[in-house]
Amino acid sequence: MNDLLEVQGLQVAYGTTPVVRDVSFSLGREKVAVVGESGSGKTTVGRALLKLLPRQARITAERLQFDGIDLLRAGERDMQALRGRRLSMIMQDPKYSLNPVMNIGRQIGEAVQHGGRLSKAECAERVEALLARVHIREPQRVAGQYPHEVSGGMGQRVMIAMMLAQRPQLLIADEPTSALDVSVRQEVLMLLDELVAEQGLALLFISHDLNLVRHFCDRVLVMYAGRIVETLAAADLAHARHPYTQGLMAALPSLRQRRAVLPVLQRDAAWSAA
Amino acid sequence: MTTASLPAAGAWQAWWNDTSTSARKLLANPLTAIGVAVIAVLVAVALFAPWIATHDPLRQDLAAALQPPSAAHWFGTDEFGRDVFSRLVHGTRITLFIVTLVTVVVGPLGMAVGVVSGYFGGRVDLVCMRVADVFLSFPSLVLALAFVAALGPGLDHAVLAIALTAWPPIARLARAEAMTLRNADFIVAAQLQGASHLRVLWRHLAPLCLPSVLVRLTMNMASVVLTAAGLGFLGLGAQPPLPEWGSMISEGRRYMLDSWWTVAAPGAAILAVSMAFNLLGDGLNDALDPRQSS
Amino acid sequence: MTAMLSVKDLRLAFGEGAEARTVLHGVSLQIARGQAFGLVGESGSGKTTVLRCLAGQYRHWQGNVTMNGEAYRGERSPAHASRAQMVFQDPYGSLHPRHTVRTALAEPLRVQGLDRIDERIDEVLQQVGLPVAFRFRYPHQISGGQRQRVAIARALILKPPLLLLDEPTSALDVSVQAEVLNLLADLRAQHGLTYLLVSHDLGVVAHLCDRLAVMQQGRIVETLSTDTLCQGGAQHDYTRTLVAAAS
Repeated sequence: MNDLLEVQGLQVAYGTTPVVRDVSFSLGREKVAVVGESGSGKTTVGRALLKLLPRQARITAERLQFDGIDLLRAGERDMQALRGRRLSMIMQDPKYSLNPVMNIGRQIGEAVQHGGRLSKAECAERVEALLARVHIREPQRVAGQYPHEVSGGMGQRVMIAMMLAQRPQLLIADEPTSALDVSVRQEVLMLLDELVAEQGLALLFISHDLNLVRHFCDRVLVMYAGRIVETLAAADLAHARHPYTQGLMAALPSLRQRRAVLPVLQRDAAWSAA
Repeated sequence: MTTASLPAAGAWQAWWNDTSTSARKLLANPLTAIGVAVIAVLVAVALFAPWIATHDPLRQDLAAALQPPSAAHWFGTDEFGRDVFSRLVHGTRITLFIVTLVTVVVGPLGMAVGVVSGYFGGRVDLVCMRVADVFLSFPSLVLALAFVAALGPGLDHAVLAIALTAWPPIARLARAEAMTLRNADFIVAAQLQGASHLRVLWRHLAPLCLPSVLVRLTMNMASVVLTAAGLGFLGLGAQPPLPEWGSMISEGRRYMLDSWWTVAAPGAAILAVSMAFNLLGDGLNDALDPRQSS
Repeated sequence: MTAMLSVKDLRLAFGEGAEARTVLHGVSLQIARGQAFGLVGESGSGKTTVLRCLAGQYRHWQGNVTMNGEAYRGERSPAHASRAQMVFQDPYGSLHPRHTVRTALAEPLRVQGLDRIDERIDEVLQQVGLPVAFRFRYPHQISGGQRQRVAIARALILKPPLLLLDEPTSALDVSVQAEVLNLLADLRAQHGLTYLLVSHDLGVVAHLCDRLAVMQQGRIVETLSTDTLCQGGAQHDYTRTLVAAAS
């Protein structure tokens, strides 16, 4: 079966230090979560797919294919043609990922113009259409605002609008809701859900929040120390078999299950070996 | 478990480890290492000047005036027959004196004003910065002229003039750092512990503003050397017969075309020292940059 | 029995005249001695502002605050330092980058003019579960969870009865968060401390606190016990939204 994205034996190392070890997975038109704590390598995996890692990083893999294109051998120009057009990314904090000195309309306009030359009027129309698509009321007013003038939730929607400008096939979302308030998170997730269904997007959702992904994604890949320790359907998380996954689930303080002492994760060296 | 003896050894060891790692990072850069080496040579020559110099720098010998470089006089002689090499060597003391004096005045003064200004903000900041603006608006050479007119020519007066115009940029730099840091959690924590403002400034804020001030000071040294040379050239700084490099160039100007060594030697020395300070400052900038630390 | 902390009608505004922006609209709460009280809300609710007023970072507030029976007017003095200390959110920013752990812990002792500095440091390091050898490490040489333990140690070293906690675990990994939450619960039980915990995470608040107040846009909309909350007894709509989002 030909999945949109096929990764086999992905390794990323900085000098002699491996950061991602032997990661393999495939991604079709579904929502897959990559979950791990800091240092697990999950963000590195996302950026390796777009080849947006610093120069010192060495990426090797048995297979790294996107829609038949060999990403490993693709040069910088080929990657530039892919990024934003077919492979897109949204990041954690719109405060840092949006350009603070350009207004929102201009930034989305840039993404729109990436595809081809449009007249100013056409571009403005398209920008407003995109803003409306991400459920922003008063798109014209927001287009004239600067990133620091809008809330976090709205900033993330702007990022999603920018990403949509080119109708990508694969979206990598790197902790897109971590910087948002709890009540706003649901709205952004619902928006992503809609877009995935409507456009048949493949979504790679990188997060540290197990609870969030279990309700949102179809499959979950759990990472620890650069390796995938468990792959399972989100619905099966309650019956996770790897001790690390079980430990992560148990360590969360929950409203429904109050315990006097939270179980502490006992790390096993065996998890990061073999 | 007694810990009475341990802390002292441990604390110094921790500090030493940290400092030596920074030092090693500094010297890893070849250009910086060159800069450090040149400055080390400068300091060594200044310290051992009487032993390194081949002749008395002030002794005139008109019969041997304007001799080209030779075995007897390595850098030749000037118009009064004085050995240029020896004058150069003794001139390092003067150069070092100027640089040290200016730095010792400008560094603490600039940092104090800047840190206080940035930390307190409001009216304190307003007053301090306007005062700094006043001093900043004086070109140092013009101020030196004014000082000389008022107090008479001399090295000390020249140094004073340079120092008075060199502190405002340091103050602005320290102020910018202080403003960034004054709301940091660890400063709030210190205030919450009941530390007085002075204590917060001295033990918490100032040490963090120090790296960028140090870098700036080091780079300033290059321009201080040049300004002092310029003042000396104009006859406002060191007075004859002191072997200050700038005044050596000034005096040798008249004979430059035929006796190039009278000007080339001190000129090369000024170039080498300025360059060395610049390289050191550059290297310090990279080594002390917190974003690049592990 | 007098409350450990009593806040009545706390009001705070930034700016002047027409541009005045009211951030706190009359916040009131009471914490009994030895109790843990949670303040929950989203960003902009004012919960962290309340904490900073009690820590003395903002002075121009109005209202009535009593701590341990004594009136508090917003000053930052050694006397106040021994009454209330704070644990900050960001373990990377709350320790001075150029101070070793020992220097950071000795500082409050020196300001208060206390003796037996090294003894007290060792004692408090043991209480937070850090090896004594950590004394000479710099913050960049220890992990986030360890930094937070040092921050807790620093708050405890003056033995204040009241601890103000500003989202102490939100910047930590889940597994490290569990350890730090356990530590905070232990310390409170052992020393009879009073906690005012600010968090956006209802799970954390439910784990540590006996009672909590929900804040929205500078006002407390509901105060209730954690038991009531967990049994679904929240009355206010906003509280219910937060509970729903957390489950």
